[in-house]
Amino acid sequence: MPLVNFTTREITCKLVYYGAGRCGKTTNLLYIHGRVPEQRRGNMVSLATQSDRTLFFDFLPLELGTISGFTTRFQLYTVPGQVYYNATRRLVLQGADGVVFVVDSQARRFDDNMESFQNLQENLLDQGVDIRTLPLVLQYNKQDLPPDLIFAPPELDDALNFRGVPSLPADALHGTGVFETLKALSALVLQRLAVRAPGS
Amino acid sequence: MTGFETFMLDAANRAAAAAARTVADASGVPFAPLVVIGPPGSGKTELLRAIAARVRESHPGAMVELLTMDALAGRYRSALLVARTDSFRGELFGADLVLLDDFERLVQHPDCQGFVSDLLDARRAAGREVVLTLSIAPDRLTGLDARLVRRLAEGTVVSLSLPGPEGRLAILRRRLGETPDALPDPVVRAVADAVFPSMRDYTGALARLVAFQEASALPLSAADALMLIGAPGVHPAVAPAAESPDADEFGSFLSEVEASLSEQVDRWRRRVGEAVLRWGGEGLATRRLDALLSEDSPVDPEPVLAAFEADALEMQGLARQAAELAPDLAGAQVFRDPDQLVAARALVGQARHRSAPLSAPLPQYRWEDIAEGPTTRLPMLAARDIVAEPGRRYSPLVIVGLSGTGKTHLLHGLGNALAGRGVAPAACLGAHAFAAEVGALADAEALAAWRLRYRWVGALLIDDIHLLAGSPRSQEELQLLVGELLEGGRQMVFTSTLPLEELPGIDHRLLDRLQGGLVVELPAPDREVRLAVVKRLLGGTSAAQDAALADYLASRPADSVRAVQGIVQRVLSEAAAQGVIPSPALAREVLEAIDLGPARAARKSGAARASGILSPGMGLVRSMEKMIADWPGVADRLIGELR
Repeated sequence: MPLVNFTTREITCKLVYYGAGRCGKTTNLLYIHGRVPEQRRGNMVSLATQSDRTLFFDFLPLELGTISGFTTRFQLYTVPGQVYYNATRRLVLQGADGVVFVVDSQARRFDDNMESFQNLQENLLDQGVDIRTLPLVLQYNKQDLPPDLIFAPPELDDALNFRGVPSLPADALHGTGVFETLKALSALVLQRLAVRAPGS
Repeated sequence: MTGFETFMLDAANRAAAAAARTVADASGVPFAPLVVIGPPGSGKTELLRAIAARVRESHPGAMVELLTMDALAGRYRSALLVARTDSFRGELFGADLVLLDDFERLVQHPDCQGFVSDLLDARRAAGREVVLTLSIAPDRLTGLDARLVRRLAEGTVVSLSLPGPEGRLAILRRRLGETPDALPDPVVRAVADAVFPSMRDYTGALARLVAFQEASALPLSAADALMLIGAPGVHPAVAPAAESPDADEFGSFLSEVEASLSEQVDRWRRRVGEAVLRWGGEGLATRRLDALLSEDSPVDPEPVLAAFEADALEMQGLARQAAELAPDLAGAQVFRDPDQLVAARALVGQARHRSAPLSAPLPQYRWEDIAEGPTTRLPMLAARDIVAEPGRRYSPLVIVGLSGTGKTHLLHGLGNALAGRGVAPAACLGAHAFAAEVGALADAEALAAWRLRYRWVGALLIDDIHLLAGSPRSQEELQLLVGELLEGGRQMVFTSTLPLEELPGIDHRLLDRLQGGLVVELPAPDREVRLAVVKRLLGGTSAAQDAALADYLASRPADSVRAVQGIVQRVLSEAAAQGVIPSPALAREVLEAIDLGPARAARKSGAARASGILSPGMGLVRSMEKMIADWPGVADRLIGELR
């Protein structure tokens, strides 16, 4: 849960982009990184393999400035999508305030999406987090691809969004829906602001 | 030339001047707010003054607030100090127009940022305009609350730059006001053409030249004037207006996050505000919460609110206890301020001491049951006056009467009546009990606590005061107590079987105090009293409606109420034993048999003789029995005759 710390006057939110390998998580962060004024963003840390796949995670800190007297930070993470990096995924998922589940809309990646979504639920459950209580947004990425290659958002909703969480079509490569997704998740996360008393 | 026309002379400032005039004329949709950005000395203050002047001219009654942020902060803090923030808030929130100068100075007053933010929100919601001036773009201000930055960004931004020569000339001429000849026109024009970084430098130069001209006999030339004010050459290019904030994806995102976050974080203000309303509505002082509201930056309200609520609830509990223990404490100011919990606890502790078990009037001695007859009229009159005005008419009241005349009933009945009128606590006890309490006080602490209990009584009623004889300590305490209660205007009532002057073994100082009140005698019950007592005792029995029986019983000789009670009880017991309804005949049978018994016995012994006619029964003829005289015995008569 994001914390309002009245002692340090800080609000820090950890948002995690989750999804199957090559679904576009890092692309989301790259796009955001490119649109954030320099003074607002920290260095994007991306540990990638030789084949440009995320080995550990991407990390993009965003300094949102002083809002209502609080220094507000958003920390955006991606997890490695590949199946064999589950330990890293769990690590990154720890303490997440909200999750964007990035779905590769391509029909051929459908099973990968399903597997990754189940993996998300399992990993959260391992940490004692019920996915129903965690702010979650589904992003149907790659909607710019030819229609016959992809599932339309309603179809993906039918398959994945049985909890009725916010879902947004996106084309992360060109930025469509990237900030909308971030806004949707931020809104959910900020609704759950918890207050930590000084000294606690 | 009005102020706006001065600004209209410069193309760069026409938009600002037009917006300002729209505000002044209230001829458009509110800009909410109109943000005028311009470098120092570009005439921002002048523009605000022009707006104010135009509004006051067109609407003489309009309330226009023109404040620098320093002034606003000062007034805000002053209002806080005297707890009049609501009033100040009302002034600014309700003004027809609010003009805020040097808005960037607000970063120096972080404690006011929340207030200003609320001000902008409230006026926007009410459709009332705010115009504010800034020397730099809002997003370049560091230390300004993001909510405020967003509010400014939501308004209309116009830029103002240093006026050109024509504009400056117009402003300078206006400055000369009613003395346009104070300086030659070429001099004014030369000043306007000179190069200064801000408009203030021009007006300052003008003022210096006016002063110099006044002191000089010769008219100034333009060249002299420029030399005097040390003006350089041509004015540099006007600085471009501050750029408007870009609207980009990140900016849009940030704006939404800020709105959401502000909403969430500012909940504390609402929480505290709600608490202030709640507790203030319940009559409690909320200084602690008010202080929280005046915090410049958000604080976690929950610990303070929880602590305040706990204190407030305890205070309310203490207030209730105090009201029960000592009604005179109800509504005391200390119980309205949770910050004075310690004092309130101490007060309740005292109240507990002073209210702990005091003997109350016995409930069976009801005021309504007291029988009144011609002979008891005076004591009853005094008693009624006391009930009407406790402690004011007769205090102390001393009721003197023989045993069984109804003193105790009158005392307790009076106590009950006083309690019924809200005189509390009414301590009502016998002198024996009083002496026993005093005798049991082992040490000074116990004595102090005991004194505290009695010092706060609403009324003190002590029965059989004559029984204090031989108990000097009790008399001394009573004497002190009477003195204190007299000073406090409390009601006191005492009873005694003997007249005060005949009381043996009572300290004369106590007697003096008692005699200082009203002493009334309660004589033996007359027939009316006896009849009332009989009727009360028969009430609820099968003979309740038997007027003849009541009449007969009341006519029986009795020197005390207690004797009347004995008569009635004997008849009722006999009726119960025989299983019949009490009747006059039965009463005669019971009572006169008792009377005749000893009379006959007396006749046998020659000691006494009774006369009278026995009723034949069924109550047809009333007994006329009457004691005429004691008939002396034979021996007595013989002695009498011999003498």
